[in-house]
Amino acid sequence: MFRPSHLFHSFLIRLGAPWATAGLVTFDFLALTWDVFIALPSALLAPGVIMERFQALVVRSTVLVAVTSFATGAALALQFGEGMSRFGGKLYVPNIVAFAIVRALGPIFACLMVAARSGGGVAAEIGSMKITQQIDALQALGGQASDKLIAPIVIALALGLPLLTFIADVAGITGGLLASSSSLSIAPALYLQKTFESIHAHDLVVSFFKTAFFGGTIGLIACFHGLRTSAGTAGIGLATTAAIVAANIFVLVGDLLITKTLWIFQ
Amino acid sequence: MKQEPASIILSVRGLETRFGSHVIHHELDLDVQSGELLVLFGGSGTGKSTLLRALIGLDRAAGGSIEFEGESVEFQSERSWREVRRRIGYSFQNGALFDSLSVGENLEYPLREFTRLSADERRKASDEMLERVGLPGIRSLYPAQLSGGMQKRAGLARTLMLDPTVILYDEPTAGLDPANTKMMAALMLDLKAQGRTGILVTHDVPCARMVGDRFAFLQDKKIAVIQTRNELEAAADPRLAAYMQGDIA
Repeated sequence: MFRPSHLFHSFLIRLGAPWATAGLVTFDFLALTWDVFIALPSALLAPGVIMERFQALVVRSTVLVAVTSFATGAALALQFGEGMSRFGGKLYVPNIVAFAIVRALGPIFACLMVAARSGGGVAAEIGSMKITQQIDALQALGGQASDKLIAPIVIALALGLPLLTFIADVAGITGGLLASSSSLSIAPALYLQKTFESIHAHDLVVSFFKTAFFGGTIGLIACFHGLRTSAGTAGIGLATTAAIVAANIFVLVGDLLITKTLWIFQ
Repeated sequence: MKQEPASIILSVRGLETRFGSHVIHHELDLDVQSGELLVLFGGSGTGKSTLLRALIGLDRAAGGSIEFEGESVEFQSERSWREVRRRIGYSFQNGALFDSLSVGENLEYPLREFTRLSADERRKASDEMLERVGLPGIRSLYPAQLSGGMQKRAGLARTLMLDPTVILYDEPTAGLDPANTKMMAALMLDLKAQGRTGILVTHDVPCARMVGDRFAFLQDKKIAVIQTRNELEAAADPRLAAYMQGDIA
């Protein structure tokens, strides 16, 4: 199959100027994204591989996501409860916690935790395969990293992040409920009633689509940095750090842009 | 009796490879004869392994041409490279076995990619290959459970699963003890006796002398000299002689 992209890549390499490096990195990331997109159908034919990745990257992140979100929900309830009690607005705490968790913090925390735990792990794994020439061997033996390695990771994370977001939402609200009932004397039934009043199906749908997109992109970023690993074992550490930093920035800035865009269209 | 001229199986013309702005090879020409084992010598960092990688598209050449069995390789075509990789095997320095797969699964991997053999047929073929390289009964072990020498031999066994016409050996004896070096050299000689062409990148001069038919020296981004075994023994080129005596690092 002829790919004009190779010509553009060669052109950038020939340029050789330092400023071309950024263009080359961006181009390589987009090329990888395209390769993975093309590889998705064949990767879906191997559900066993996707399930293995799902288990390692998503299921094993559940406790981490639940604990952090639970603590955040509880802390939010206590902070807002203390502040709003002064103005007689304590009963708005469930609404604020639900709103903050479902719309912003639940999805963000799920993504950040997965970017740190699973993204870092993926970058280290692929980086290690790169420096031990396993990625080269895969290619030399007729395979492609994009469909054998990366596409299953991207699919598993894209499917898993909405699930983890739901768990983060439930854990965060539960944290808020327990903190409110124990420290703010808000009855659990009332807390739940006010929570459900604040959550709309639209919010959940948006956050699930958003996190599916973020999940796939976290996988791509982690794999991309893993594949760029060089300079031996020290390079694995650098690749892991770069993957986590890039994924976190992408999630935070991406969330801001999506939120702002939705705001404009609403 | 008049000797038949050896046929060229792999021909490289004007090859250029680079990492960013750093040029590794420039206007490199090389002809590899069918059935020979060509040894590629050169100082550290001269691009010996990069040349091997470029021959199967692991490092994409920036210019020049490669002809394999009379057919031109299209650098821009993944399909063309895939066809080349089916017929040119690459034996990696440390075996490069997939550490998440058992040895048996490693050997079966290329058969999964390129053939429609059944699971039983793949298993039988991989067991036979392990037997051939002197590693019977290790199919269920994982790479981490093997010694360095065993990993290299298992890696070579995986390379041979597709019955390649040409084998690229990248430092096959580096870091091996004398017994494993001897075993690896014997394997290379055995494969040569079967008519397989080989290109060997090594710093191991005694091993190279044992198995090589021709000896090339890579210097200044191109092949500076190629001599046959007889030419080398009669009057070695000063550059090759200096390298083999350890005067060029």
